Amino acid sequence: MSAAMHLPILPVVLPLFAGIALLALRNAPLALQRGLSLAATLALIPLAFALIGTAADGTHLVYQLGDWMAPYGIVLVVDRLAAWMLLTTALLAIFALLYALNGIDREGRHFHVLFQLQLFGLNGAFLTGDLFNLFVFFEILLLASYGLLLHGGGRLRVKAGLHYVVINLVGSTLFLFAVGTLYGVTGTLNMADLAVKIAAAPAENAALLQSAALLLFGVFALKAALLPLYLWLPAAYAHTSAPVAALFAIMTKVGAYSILRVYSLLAGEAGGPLANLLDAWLVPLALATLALGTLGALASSGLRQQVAYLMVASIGTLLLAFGLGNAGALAAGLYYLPHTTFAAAALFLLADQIAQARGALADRFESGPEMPRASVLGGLFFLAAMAMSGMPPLSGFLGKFMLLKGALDEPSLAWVWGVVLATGLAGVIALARSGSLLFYRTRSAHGDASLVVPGAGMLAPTAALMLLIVVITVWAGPFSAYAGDTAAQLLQPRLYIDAVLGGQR
Amino acid sequence: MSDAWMPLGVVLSSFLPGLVIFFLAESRIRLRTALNLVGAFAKLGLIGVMLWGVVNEHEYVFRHTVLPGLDLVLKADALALLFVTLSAVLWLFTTFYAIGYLEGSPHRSRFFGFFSLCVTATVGVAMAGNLFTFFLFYELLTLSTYPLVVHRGTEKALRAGHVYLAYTLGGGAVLLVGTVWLYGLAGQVDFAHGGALAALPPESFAQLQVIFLLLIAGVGVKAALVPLHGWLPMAMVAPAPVSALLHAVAVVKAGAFGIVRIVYEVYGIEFAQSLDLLTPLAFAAAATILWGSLRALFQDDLKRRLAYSTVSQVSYIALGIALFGPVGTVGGLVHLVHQGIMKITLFFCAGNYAETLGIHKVSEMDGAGRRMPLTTLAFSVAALGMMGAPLTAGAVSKAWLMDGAHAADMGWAVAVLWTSSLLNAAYFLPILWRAWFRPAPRKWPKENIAVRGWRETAWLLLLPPLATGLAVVMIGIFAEAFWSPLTWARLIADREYLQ
Repeated sequence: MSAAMHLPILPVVLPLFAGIALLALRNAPLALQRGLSLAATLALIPLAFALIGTAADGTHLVYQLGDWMAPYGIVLVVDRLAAWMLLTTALLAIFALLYALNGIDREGRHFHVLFQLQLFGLNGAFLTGDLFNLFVFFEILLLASYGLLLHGGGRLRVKAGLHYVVINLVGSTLFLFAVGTLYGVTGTLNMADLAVKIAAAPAENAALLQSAALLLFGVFALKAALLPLYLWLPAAYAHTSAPVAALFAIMTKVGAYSILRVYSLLAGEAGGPLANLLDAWLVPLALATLALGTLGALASSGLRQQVAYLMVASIGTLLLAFGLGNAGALAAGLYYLPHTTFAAAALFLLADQIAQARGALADRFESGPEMPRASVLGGLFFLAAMAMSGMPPLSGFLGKFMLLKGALDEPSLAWVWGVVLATGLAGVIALARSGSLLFYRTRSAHGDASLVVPGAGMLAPTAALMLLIVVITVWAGPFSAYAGDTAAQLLQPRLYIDAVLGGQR
Repeated sequence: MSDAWMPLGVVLSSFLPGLVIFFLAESRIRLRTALNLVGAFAKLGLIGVMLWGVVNEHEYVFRHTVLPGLDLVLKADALALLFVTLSAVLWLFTTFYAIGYLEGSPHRSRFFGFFSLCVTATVGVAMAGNLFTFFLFYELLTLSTYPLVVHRGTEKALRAGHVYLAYTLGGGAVLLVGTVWLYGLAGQVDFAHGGALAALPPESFAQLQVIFLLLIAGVGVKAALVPLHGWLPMAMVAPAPVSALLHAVAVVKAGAFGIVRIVYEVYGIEFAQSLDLLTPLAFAAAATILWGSLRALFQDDLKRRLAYSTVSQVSYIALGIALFGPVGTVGGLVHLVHQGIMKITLFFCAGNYAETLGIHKVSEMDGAGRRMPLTTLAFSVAALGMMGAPLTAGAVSKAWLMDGAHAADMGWAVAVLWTSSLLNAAYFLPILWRAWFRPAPRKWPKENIAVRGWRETAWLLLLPPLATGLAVVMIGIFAEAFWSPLTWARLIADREYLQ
């Protein structure tokens, strides 16, 4: 095997080794820990680009761990979708980490260890071709996220974190049930193999398979914060530290990714008893999530809470696109995914700086003192709010435009258009109200020493995330073309199955 | 020809200074002013070159493919330049005025930052080469004017801002529905003389009628067509230069201009007529003209009275278009420019009264003409223009509109125009009478700026309305000159109807 053939495993083992090394170096100087963590995170970006490069022409790069053939060994699969997710994660992670270096990483122990393990879990989940390994990586990223969520402490943070932990433990248990049932019926957990076995399953197993698949969907929906399982999210995200909240912008997308990956393979047109299983569920649930998330944003009492609700709404948009499931809508969703991840992350970082710049009032929606550097913060907020609410001309709007066009031939057209347009409107109004209150309805600060001036170390990562959005917007042509190719690939699950199982035929 | 950058340059000439201004400290007044003026003059220079090119039948087109089948197109044709020139010239005046108006007040960086963004969006709306591009800039205009409306940060300003946002974004959403629907039906359609939809199969005509309704409702919010006009009087809490901008240069005009583009260059005037779309538009415009004028009669707040006057006057443009004939077209187009110049003068003057003497109401105007003769002179000229008095710009628009109504055999439209003129006189003449002929009170409500020689108020507040007031008379008297808006409007009408 040449070095290039080991490419798929690197995004998994690199953060793992970095995490172990950081654990060993826990008493080393902070600068060394930071340097190592940064270097390991930074290295993920060229890796992700390299994988995009190999996947772009439609290749499925299949990596058999320990040379055990699928479906018996552990398998990692790089296709367009996986590479896209890896790149989004890598770009998000580096700026979240840079923001954490402002001092948040010192507030508790093992920040960098947990951060790397989180990336280990995320990258593994995106790459694995095996349902049981997906479960394992979910557990890893959840364990790391428990630690990160509580990092820095505080009563509210621990309380909100506790709900998160309990809910996810329940989710994990259900995941295990579902995986066990599928294994019991089909005798395999390799996703490609599962797809083949399920399509050929006898009719008497149909009910069992369907219930297992729906259970699995419930678990993914919980991770993705889909209605009615989204209630844990706003509290948890609003009370954790800013860089963690920013990194967690990708966490809900793991749920969305899993829904897309598993159901495009198992429950597509040729899915036998599972064929089009989610058609009746996903679109209405996504629309309801979008609507309720937006209502939550309108009713929020603080900026971080509002951003968390807007993130719930954006998950609604994303799953709406996946639920519609035609090539145009899928492409819209995939193009929208990095956009909404970066926009939410930038807003979480910004909300933190705004909270610090307002002293005791923090991010509560009350008339407060004038912030130091208000015009820079305000300018960034204006831009980030435009992005988050999908206003033109930024990429969020282009994604929505593609989505609206993708819904043109769907029976749910009127619902999709009505909800997407109305929630877009309400989202802008919610953010405009917050912005005008925070930045315009102010009183003079008169040398209030408790107000923290946002430094370049905080502003730069925030601005960089916004710059990423500008890049996605300006080069929308190539990015949307990649998203379109990815959608086409997903609509032909045969390609994935053959690539994984091809070795034994 | 590699002159495609020029339309883009017109947009960037205010966008880039705007970006820089956001990051300037409050105290960098000179640099900020310099940036604003360099941008404004660069824009005017580019426009001058393109005006010359367009006279010689050249079009400047910038095209960037955003997504497959979705192009961003900026096009400088005769119609675009009518609006671009108007907004660029008036922007320059408003910049001077705003510098004087905001002198010494806080938050000027963010004000001028959004001010520049607003003009960027306006010229973008003007030069948009298809509906998608138009929509992008139309929404950007909403977003960049919102911070200007709430600029003062008071409870009232914030509330007005929310109303403004709800109306205009709602309109934007409706416009988006129409746009995506049309793109689904006809693919990407660039604006073109005579439109491009007539070639579609007749089965889709019913859909096209609905789409027309959606598009017009979408831009009708900004054009303040009744009953979509509620935001405009509320937005009066904004500072005077912002009101001037909203009414004369940017927002309301963007809506009216949208109607022009949709009727002439998406549907084509003849196709629109054949789908029976123009008569409803004419009725909507007529209702708006009368309703706005009627409501203006009962407003004591000076700026609110002017706001209702705008509601009424902007629909002259829509009426002119709906009259279906080259004469009405010329009347509508030329009024786009004339109304802008007259209205901006009125708002400059209203701002002067408020800043200098604390006058906000019509009932406080007694004797203002003796204290501020030059401002009141400019106000009087513009007000007379609004009524359509001879030797003013308003007379020219009104004559062409009347002729257009006669040519189209729409006697009721003539009656509407006459009624509105009478109503205009009824709500403007009492103001003039109070200002010139009633004795001044012993004490002004709140005198901020003292008289110095013949200077009744600050330099920068006085000169812009005098200049625009002079323009009202000049373009009225020299309507037939080669440089007049009327000549340009006739050029456009020739090109729209000859296709």
